[in-house]
Amino acid sequence: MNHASDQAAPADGPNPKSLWWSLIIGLLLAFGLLEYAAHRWLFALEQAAYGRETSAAAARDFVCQGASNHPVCASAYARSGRPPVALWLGNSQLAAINRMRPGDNNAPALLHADLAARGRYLVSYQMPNASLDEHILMVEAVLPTYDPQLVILPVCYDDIRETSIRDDVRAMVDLPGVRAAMAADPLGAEMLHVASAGTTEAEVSTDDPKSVRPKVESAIVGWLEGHSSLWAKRSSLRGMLGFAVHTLRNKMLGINSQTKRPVPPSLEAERLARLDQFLREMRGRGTRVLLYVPPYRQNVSGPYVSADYARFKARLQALAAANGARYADLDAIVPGPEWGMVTDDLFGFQEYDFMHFTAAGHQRLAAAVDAQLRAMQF
Amino acid sequence: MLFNSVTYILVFLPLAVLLYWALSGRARLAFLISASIIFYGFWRVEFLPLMFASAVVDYFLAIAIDKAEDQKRRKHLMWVSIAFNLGVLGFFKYLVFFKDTIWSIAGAIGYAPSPVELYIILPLGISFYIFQTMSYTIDVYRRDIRPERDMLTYLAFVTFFPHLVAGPIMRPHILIPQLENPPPFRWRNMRIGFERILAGLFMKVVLADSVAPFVDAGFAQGAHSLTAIDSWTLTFLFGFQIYFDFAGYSSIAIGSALMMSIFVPENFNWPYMATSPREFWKRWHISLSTWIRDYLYIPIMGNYKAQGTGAWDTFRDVGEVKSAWRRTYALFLTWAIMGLWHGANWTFAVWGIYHAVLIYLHRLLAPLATWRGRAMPAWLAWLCALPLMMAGWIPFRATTLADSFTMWGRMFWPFGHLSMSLTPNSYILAAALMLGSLIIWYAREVVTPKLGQTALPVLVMRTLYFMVAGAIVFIMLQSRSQFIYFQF
Repeated sequence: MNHASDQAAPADGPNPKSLWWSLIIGLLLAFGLLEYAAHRWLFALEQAAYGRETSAAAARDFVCQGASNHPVCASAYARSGRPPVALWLGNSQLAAINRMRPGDNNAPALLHADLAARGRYLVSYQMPNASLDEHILMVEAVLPTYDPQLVILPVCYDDIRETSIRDDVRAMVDLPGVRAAMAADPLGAEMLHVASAGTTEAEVSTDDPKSVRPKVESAIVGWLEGHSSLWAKRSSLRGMLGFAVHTLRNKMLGINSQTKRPVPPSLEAERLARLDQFLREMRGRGTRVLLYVPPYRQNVSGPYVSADYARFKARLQALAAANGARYADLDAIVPGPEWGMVTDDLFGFQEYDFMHFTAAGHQRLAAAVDAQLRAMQF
Repeated sequence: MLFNSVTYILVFLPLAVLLYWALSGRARLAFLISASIIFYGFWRVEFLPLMFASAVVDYFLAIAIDKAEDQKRRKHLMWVSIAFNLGVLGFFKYLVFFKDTIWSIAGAIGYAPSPVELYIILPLGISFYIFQTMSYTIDVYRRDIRPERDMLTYLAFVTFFPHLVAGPIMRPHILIPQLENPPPFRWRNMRIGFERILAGLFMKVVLADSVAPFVDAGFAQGAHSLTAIDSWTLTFLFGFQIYFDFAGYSSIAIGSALMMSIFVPENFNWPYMATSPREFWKRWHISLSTWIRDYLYIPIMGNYKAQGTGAWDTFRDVGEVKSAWRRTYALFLTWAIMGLWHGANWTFAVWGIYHAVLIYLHRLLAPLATWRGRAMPAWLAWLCALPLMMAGWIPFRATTLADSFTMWGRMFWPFGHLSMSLTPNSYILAAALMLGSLIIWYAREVVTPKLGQTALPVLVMRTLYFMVAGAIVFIMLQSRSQFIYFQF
C-alpha cells in the first residue's frame, strides 16, 4: 500500500472479565436507579413548579389546565348558551393556591361566578411558566371556539425569558378549522411557523408521507409505552431529570428565588414586538384586550432588577395605549402575608415564593380584574 | 434510519447483528446489502437507485481501468469516473448554489435574469458514498488495490450501513478484505461495540441535543445583537455541539460494525486537545481529512510520485515540484474545496479558507514561537490553538457571510461589546462542558493508562459511568433531531 493506512486494525487484545463485570453491574445499577426513581422520586412536574406548600385548585369546566382539557371547556361553553365571553390566560399563578384549604377558590373561579351573575362568561387557560408564544398560540387556536369579546392577558416579567412551546399547545393548531383560520392572518401564519419549528421526529410523520421512518418509530415507541411501565414513565423521568439539573445548578451557584435575574434586552424587545403584533391583530378583529402586570411579592427583595422592571412596565403601558388595549398594573395588590414559601419535593430546599399566593390573594386578584372589566363595560 | 432512534437501537441493530452471525458466505453478504437497503430506504426509497447506479458505474469502470494496459486509457477512464461522480454530486448538491451565485452576479452587474426555482432534494449520504466509490476507482488506477470482481462484496462495501450516510469514509483496502474474509466472532468486540454505541448515544441524545437549543436561540438572536462574550460563548457551544453530534454518530457507527467484528477506523481523537491547527485536523473527522490529503492535497502538490506505480500522480504529472508556492496553492485550494464539500454556501468556503490561513500561519510562525527560550509548552500551545479552532465554527454555523464577519469582528475586537445578552444557562453550559471535557480527558488519557484498565478505581469509575450513562440514555433516547453531518 503506498499511502498510509492511517490506522491499523485493532489487535485482538485481552478481554478481562472485570471489564465485563463493570459493564453488567453498571447497567443493572442503571436499571435499579430508574426503577427507584420511577417509584420513589417521580412526582407531577406541575407540583414541582408549585412547591410543597402550594396546590393547584381543582380543574373546572371553565378553567383549562393547559391544552389537555380544552374539549371539556369548549363543550361547557357550548352548553351555556354562548353568552359574551372573556378569555383569561395565565401561568401557574392563576391555578395554584398557597396553603390551600378545603373550599378555597382561585381567581378565575371567583371571577367566573361574578361574571355569570352579570350574564357574562369567563373561560381560563393556564400553563405553568407559559411563554408569550404559547399564550398567543392558544388565543389563535381557541378563537373559533369562543369568539371572545375580551382577552385578559397577564404579562409576567419573569416569563419573558420563556420561549418554548409545549407539545400539547402546539397540537392545538390541529383542532378543526384552526390551521386554515390562522393561515389567513399574518400573525396566525407566523405562529403556525413558530409552532412547526422544533417538532419531534415522530410528529413529522404526517408532514412527510414519503418517509417511513417516523411512522415506524411512532409505532415502536407506542408499543413500548403500552408494554413497559418504566418506558411509559420516560417523559416524566426526563422532566424530573431536568428539574434536578436545574436545582443542582441553583445550589452550586447559590441561585435562589431572590437572585436577580435580568432579562436580556434583545429578548425583551423581541417579545414586546410579538405582543405589539398580537394587540394590533386583536384590535383589527374588534376583540378588546386587558393587559395587566400580575401580582408580585413586595415585602422581600425579589428577582427583578427594579430599574429594568419599571422600564418594562412603562413599555407595556405604552404598547397598550398605542394599540387601544387597557393596561393595569396589579403588581402590588397582594400584601406580603398572603404570599408563602416554596419547598421543592425532590430535595426539600426552601425559598420565597414570588408567584403563588393564598386564597385571600386570589380574591384580591379576582376583584382587581373584575374592576378593570367593569371599567371596560364588560 | 437514524442511529439515535428506538427503531435502530432496539430493533434493527440487534436483528442485523443476530442475522449477520447466523449467516455465512455469500448469504451473509446478501444480507448485509439487504439490511443496508432497509437502513437507507427508511429515509427515502426513491434515492436507492441513485446510490446503486453510482456504485455499479464505478464497479465496471474500475474493472476497465484494471484491464487497460495503456496509461493514457487508464487515466481517461479514471477521469470518466471522477466526472461521473462529481457530476452526480454537482447536480444534487451544487446546482442550486451555482444558479443562485450566477443570478446574484448577473444582478450585481445590472442584468436581472428571470427567476428560476429549482427543487432538488439532497440525497442522504451522497457526499460520503460518492467519495468512497471515487476513491475506489482512483485506488484501482493507482494500482494500490485490485478491483473487486465479486459484485456482492463490492456492493456490501459501498452500502455497509454503519458508515453509509455520514461516514467514517471507509477506504476499500480496509473494508473489502474484512468482507471477503470476515473476522471471527469475538465477545470482546461485542462488549466494546456495545460500549461505543452507549457512548455515542450519550454524546448525541444527552449532550449534543441538550446544547442545540442554546446554540439555535443564540444564532437566531441576530449577529448584531451579540456581544464579544456572547459570540465566544456561542462558538464554543456550537463547537461542543457539532463534536458531540458527529463524534457520537461515528462512535455508534464504529460500535455497530464492531458487533459484527468489522473494524471501522476512528474518526475523532480528542480534537479540542490539539496544540496546533495541523494537529486539530489529525484529530477531527480523520477519515475525511486523510481522504482529502490522499486524493486532493497531495495530487495537487504533485510531488509524491511513487516509483513504479501510478500513485500520487493522479491529477498531475509534474515530477518533483516542491516549491513553497505550490504547497501554499495546494493548501488553499484543498481547503476551499473541503469547505464547499461540507455545504453549498460561501460560508463553508470561508470556513475552509479560515483553516487554510491558520495552517499557513502556523507553518510560518511555529518555528518562531518560543517560551523562555524553548519550544512552546503544550499547555500554552493548546491555550492558543483552542480559541482559534473554536472561532472557525462561526461561518460553519452562521447562515450568512455578513453574520460571520460581524461575530468575528466582535470576538477579535471586543471593545465596547463586553456585556452579556444570552440566557445565563448558555454561559454556564459552555463553562461546564469545557471543564467536564478536561476532566474526562485527564481521567481517560492520563489517569487510566497510568493505573491500568483493570485497576479497582478505574473499574469503579467505569461502573458508575455505565450506571449514569445507561440510565440517562434510556430516559433521553429519542430522535429529536438528525445528525448535523446528514446535511452534507
